[in-house]
Amino acid sequence: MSLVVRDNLPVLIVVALLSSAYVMPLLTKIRRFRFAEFFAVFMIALALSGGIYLGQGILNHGSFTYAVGGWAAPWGIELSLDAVSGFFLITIGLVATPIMLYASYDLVAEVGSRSRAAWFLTLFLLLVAALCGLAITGDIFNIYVMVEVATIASCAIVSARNDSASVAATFKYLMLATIGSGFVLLGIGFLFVLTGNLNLNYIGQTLRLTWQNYPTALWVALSFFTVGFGVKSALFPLHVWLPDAHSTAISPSSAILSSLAIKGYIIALLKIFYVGVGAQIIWELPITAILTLLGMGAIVAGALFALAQDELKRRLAFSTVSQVGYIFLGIGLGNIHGLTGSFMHILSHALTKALLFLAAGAMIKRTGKTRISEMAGIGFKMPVTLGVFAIGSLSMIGIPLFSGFVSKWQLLLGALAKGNYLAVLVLVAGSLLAAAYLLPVLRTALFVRPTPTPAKDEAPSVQLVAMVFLAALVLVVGVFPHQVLQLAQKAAATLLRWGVL
Amino acid sequence: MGEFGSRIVQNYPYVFALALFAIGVYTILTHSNLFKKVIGINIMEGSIYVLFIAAGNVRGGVAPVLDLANSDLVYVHPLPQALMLTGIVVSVSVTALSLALIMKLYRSYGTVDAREIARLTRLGNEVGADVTSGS
Amino acid sequence: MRDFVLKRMVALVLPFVTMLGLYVIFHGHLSPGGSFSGGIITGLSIIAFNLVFGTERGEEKISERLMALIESFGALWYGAMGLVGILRGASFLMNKGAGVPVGQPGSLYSGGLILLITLGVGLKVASTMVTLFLELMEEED
Repeated sequence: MSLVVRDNLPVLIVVALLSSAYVMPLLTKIRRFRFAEFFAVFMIALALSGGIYLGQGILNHGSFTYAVGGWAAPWGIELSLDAVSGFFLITIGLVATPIMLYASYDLVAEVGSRSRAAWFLTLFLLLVAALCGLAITGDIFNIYVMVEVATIASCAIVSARNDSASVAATFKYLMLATIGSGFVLLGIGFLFVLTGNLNLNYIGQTLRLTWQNYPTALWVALSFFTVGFGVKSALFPLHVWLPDAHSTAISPSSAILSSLAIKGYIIALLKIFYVGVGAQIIWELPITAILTLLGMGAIVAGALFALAQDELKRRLAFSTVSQVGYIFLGIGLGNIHGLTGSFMHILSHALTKALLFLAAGAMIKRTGKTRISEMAGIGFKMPVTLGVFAIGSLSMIGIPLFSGFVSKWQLLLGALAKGNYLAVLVLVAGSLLAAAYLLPVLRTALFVRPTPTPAKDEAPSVQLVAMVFLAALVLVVGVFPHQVLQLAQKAAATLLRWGVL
Repeated sequence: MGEFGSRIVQNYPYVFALALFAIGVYTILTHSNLFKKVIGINIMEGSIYVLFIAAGNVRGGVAPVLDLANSDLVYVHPLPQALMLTGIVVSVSVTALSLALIMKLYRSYGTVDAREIARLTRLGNEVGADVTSGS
Repeated sequence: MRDFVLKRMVALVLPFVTMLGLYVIFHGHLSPGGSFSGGIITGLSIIAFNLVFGTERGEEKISERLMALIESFGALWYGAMGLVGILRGASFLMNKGAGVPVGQPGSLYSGGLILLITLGVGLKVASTMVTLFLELMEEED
């Protein structure tokens, strides 16, 4: 039995999450609601352990493929389990579990009613399942389906509370995300017409032999993918939906959307670019230069926008725009250090931004204040929450011994190896700007003491456990990055394996 | 008509699909009526179906249902059709979700005009009170 | 709606529409159509009933709660059918290779698990269409 589970683990993770998503509406009607919340936390933790097991296996024994329905690669859907999948599965598990735990504390009160809470759990599980699917799939149309499931789930999850501001933000998000899906599907259509295949590896093999016959068509397809996934992952000029959507949603929604959902689209983009098209072709087309420029623009512009915000969650949302720029900069640099940095930043930004949004949510919930200027002295009221917020801020800035430093160091190495000194400058400037928009929060909260020192009033212990867990992970990755870095390097090497031919 | 022109004429379904796609995206981005945006989405998705189905078409082919009695039939490529069935399901769910959102927006703002909704939201932020609660 | 002709006509036609929907679902592996188209036709027959006779009568026939139940069941049924392959030692969603009898090509029972999966998906699609319609029909919460 255990052998059966191990052999089919990749597909079982996704199926277990999808099935439990559909069980949720039933559970609310039959049993006490607490049970449904525990069940959701349990299922995500189970998927996490499956993901870590898979990641370990890939690191030790190399990658493998799984044929769904027993149909081998060119005909059937193939799941390809390589270091990229392992790395993203581990990221999803490590971040989604604490967010779910945090959300389970007062979900019904937060979203308004029991049935809404059940829908929230369903959508959350669907989103996590779709992200796991994106991590493991090796089929280009399967990528589209998973992207759509993730898009619809994340749109609906924004309006979990059903207030008018979040519904308006959701509609804007849905429109732009659907345009993005249209571009992605058009790009998939182009690749299908060019190669006659849907399997990423087969597309890559065909394109390597024939792409010189139709460089324009391939170039158009790659532009479609860049725009489509760029809209969905909030690449700078296309980010307009993100601040509204991520700042009006409830905090656990903001946390999962900012930390994981947009990363899923980046993983899909990486798979299509480097596995489907291949590093050699990507390097010959000007796509990397464009991604580098867009990434640098995003780092600076996102940080400048963030500086102008007084609302805490809006500032964090714009900070996501800036940090996504780092990931795209790494993809644009395109060498081993740059891609390793991108992968490390996917993990470290996921941990850090989830931590920051959850801590911000706890502060807003306890005090009812949403603006940074009103938050004087919160540090005396909620020392632990502010402590983890400080850890998150320092990691976001990129101070050594925090996880953000590891990824930014790799990106710096990549930029230096490429000889791109403008990128070096932008990376340093991005860190300084991050300090400029995050440290004032700490200064107001910790060093402005209101005249009657407020009594201690911490967040509930379940939520504290979730936040402290994330903060501990930020520190562990920052102090002992060896294992994770090795996996990230392996993932980057997997993507670049065709470039050395 | 040069070589380029004849290539355009030969591949007219693709030109048609891309024109439809542009019309759809233009509709979504320029119209402020929310319903027209949803119609734009459906036009855009429809153009992609045209692209895929045209790519899988075989001139003189029949529907890809296996006819055991008649073995020398030429079938069109069934894979793009199956893919577009999935695409249709996706666009149905996107349409349903957006219509539900439009109904909620109409209930709280009393309008289906995107500019009007943006104006009301800004107003609400400035006054600091929820202008929409007493609808 | 107090239209006599409409009500009689719909009452007359609806059973056949439902039958057609189920036919399309059951013959999905033999002819054009399948779980999605058949499910839509079946769902539309229920929606038409709700439109013509009012949602109260519709609720009496098939309650919203039962619809939600069928919706979840359809999705779980698909997963369970996928697990058959795994439990027989082959891979997920495996059909013939996992030792499922596939029958005579061209006859109604000829696709192994495909017919069972189509049935579950058809139920899911039909109930989803109805739930969506009822959600949109609902007045203020």
